[in-house]
Amino acid sequence: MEQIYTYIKVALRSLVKFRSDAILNVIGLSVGITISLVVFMYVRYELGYDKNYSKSENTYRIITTGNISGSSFNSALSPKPLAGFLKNNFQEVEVSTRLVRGSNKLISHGDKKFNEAEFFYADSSFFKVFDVPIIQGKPINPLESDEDVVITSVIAKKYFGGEDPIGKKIELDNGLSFYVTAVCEPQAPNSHFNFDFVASEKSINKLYIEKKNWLKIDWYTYLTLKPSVSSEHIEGRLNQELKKKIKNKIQDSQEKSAGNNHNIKALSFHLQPLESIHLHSQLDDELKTNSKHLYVKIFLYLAIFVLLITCINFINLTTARASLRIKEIGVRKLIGGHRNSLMLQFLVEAITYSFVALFIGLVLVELLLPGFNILFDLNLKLNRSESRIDLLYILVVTFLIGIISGLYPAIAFSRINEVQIFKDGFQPKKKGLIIRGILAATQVMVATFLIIFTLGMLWQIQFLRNKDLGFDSKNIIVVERGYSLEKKFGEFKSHIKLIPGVENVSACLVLPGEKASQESFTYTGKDGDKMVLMPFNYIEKDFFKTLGLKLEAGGIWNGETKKFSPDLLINSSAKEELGFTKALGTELQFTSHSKQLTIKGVFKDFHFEPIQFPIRPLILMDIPKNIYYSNLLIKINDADKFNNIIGQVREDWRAYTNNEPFEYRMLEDVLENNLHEENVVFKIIMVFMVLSLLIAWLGIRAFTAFVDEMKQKEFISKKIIGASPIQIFNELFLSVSQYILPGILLAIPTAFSILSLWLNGFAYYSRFPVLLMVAIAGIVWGLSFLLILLHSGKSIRSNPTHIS
Amino acid sequence: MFQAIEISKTYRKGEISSVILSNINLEINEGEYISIFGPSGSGKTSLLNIVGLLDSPDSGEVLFHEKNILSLNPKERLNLRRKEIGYIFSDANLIEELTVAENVELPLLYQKIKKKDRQEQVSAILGEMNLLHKKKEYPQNLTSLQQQKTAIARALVINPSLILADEPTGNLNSTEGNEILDLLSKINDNGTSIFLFSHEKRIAERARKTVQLFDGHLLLDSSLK
Repeated sequence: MEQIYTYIKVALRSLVKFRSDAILNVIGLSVGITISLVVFMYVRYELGYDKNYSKSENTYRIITTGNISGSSFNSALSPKPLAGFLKNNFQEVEVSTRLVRGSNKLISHGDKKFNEAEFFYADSSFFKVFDVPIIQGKPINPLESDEDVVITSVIAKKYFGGEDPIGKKIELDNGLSFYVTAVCEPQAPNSHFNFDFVASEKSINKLYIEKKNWLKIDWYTYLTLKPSVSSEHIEGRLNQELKKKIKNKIQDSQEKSAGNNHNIKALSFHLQPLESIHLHSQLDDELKTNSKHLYVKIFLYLAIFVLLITCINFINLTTARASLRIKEIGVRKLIGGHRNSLMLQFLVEAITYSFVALFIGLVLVELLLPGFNILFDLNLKLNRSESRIDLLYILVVTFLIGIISGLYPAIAFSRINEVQIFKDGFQPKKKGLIIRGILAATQVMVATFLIIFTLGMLWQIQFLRNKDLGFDSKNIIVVERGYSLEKKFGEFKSHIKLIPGVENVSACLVLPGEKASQESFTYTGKDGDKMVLMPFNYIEKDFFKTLGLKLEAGGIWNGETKKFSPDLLINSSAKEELGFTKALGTELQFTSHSKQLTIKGVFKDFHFEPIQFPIRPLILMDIPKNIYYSNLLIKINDADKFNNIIGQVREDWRAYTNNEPFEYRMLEDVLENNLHEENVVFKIIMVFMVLSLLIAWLGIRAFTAFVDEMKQKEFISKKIIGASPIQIFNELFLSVSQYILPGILLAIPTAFSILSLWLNGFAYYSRFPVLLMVAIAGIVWGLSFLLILLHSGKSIRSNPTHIS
Repeated sequence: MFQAIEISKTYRKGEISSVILSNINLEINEGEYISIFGPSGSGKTSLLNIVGLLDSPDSGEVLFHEKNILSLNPKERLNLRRKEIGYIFSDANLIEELTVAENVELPLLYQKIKKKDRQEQVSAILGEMNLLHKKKEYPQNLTSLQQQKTAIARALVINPSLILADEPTGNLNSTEGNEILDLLSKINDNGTSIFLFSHEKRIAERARKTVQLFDGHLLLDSSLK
């Protein structure tokens, strides 16, 4: 023990003494440890999804797969009657529940009104499955009657401040009202949904009476199985027992639609483990955007890779600088130090370094975490249970890093013969040169690859940003929740148009740049009657003027009349897809409309969906009487008056909507947000690029030190016979370059191929010019030159009289 | 105490071989002080390595306390070295990350001697060397003489039966060198055997007995005093 204490003391003192190498070593290890800590926190957070409920291991979500109108679907939803059917017919089911997200966002309590997105309706068993702790109110059966609502503590504070929320009333803008029966803790952030309110589903009956419909797939159903019941067995039985029931319903539906293809052809249900939803489920209608297990794996492998590289750099740098320690090794051996105790010394030294690096790493994690969370849209905290890393785990990992880093130097150093040290001095053997060279080359290759890849991504993102969308998105204010105006839209529009600086006002259901819904219709083509599914949008008549869209043929319906116009517009792609030579006047029969609608105009294609996707056929039509626009579009022509315009629009909005919250975005921001995923990936790659540069620097430094050390005698001899410092440096640079230059060059085709693969995911792309890739490779080589120059002091400064 | 009988050593590099030591017979008894004197390349260092149990001859026998060293395994040799032999070089070879006291303590630490005993022994030897006031200093803060005295203290702290001194005054001026040689004589007076290796006749003559080495052969065996 005392020896170990002495070794730690020596390690810390040598850390101070050989500052420059030690700092590099510690920085390298700190980078590795920081990355691994953050990645392990991320992995723990991701793997911990939905594990906070007492029976989460036995809980499953029922998902539905099937076929509608010939196209298959996979939905996270299931029919409403399913939960009750399970409860009544399966003894193995301990409890089942169902929930649905509320569509109304505005919730009020007295004067307090907020738009809320996380409002759910659920049956009374909800808290038996998702047993979040109830901290106030009724802990058992809090959703018993139809006016019960459970809120989280965050919501309780938001609406009721310091008051007791139990028994207090909240009102929804759909006319429903609820009384708070309980306050619960918020769900862990790593849950596949996070509710703020859960209201009794019975209340929905006040809005409309819903018949038991097995073909309406719009609820989320969960069940908890009794211990040791197999989910496959339940799934098999469920599908078997429902087969007949559903088959009859399907037949009914087909008969009702009289030969129309637009109906459900098949349905089957599957049990999806609750804990696997976040990483293994990419279905339609997910409650939150899920991640992929692949990402967790990639991050884990990257962390291990970075850790290994930093360990190898540590080994390289330590062994390359062996001559600095050689005298000490000799003395220790001479005065009785056994090989084992020397090995122990170097291991303890490496472990001490890794603990120093751990300390720096923890500080770095604490400092970088907020930025990391913003960058990657996460919620990691060092001291939070869902992402915290156990102390023991940290200690074990740090200890292992120390062992991995220190083992080779320990073996190599302890093997050196003391007689050799005192007789011949010490020079590293050449046999490690190739391996070290390849390693340094790999690190430089990875760094060069990541630089090219990052810039290639930026190139593509900029291309998408600057691409002509076919409409003018500048200076367009999007007012959300347009449906709050209900029938007063026309009046509101006339009022807004009078505000100085407002050029045009219009509205639509789905915003340009958002994914469009699809609608099916039949029409008579060359080959007889056909049924087609096509994207559509409801627009107001000034939509074209507001966005600067161009008509190719025909015109738009007259908007003066308050009646629904039977006219519609199609884009050129739709005209092409439908095979019309003359589209105008053609009639289409939509399943959602009783009357036939006539094509009145054909407009030029524009990017109505995210820019990553190709332009699809599109149908634009007037909005039916029972539906209201979701988005109002206000085009302004004087950006300087923006604040004034917004102020007045807000005032008018409040007057027309009875003080509902006013929320707006700029259309350009909506479109920029479509590049969010690309931006996040770009930022991740950029972080790795910076880290890889740092690691490559350490790699070049270690390799240069090794070559320098190995060639010491040769360089000194050459100096004696007249070689200048520049000649010596050139020789060193070439020796190092013969390894790293192939690495740099190899990065070009690799980056080209991977970039091409990435670009394949885009409908429109611009390749990063190869010439620029070559230029980047040249710059990296130039930087390597500077690094080698910086770290080649020994060769240049060494005194030829010191030859031994 | 130590006896080398007919030892020879040849170094080979590729096809070239050179005889470093040839049929050397050398003996030192308890309390003796012998210098091995010879020019550079005469084989002094090779002989020192064999005498110091760091290396083995190609032929011949080496006895230490009548035990054949060549039959010992590396660990047994190490144990023998730890307890019986103290080394002094021209360079003090102190570990720069350790203080004076820690440098001197190091051989005792390897012998797993208790902390209290170690501290007592270190203080005693540093007192003898007049270095007690420097015990917390690092080697780089000492004069060359103080560094060499620390190295001698480190060699003596295990209470060895044999001291091997290889050019112990090589890095010192003549006054400092004389002080070290006086110290070695004093150590010998206290009963410790000493092998002194030097290329300088003046220094070699400070020993009680001088042996001359030339091209791997012993030329002279004489008692000077």
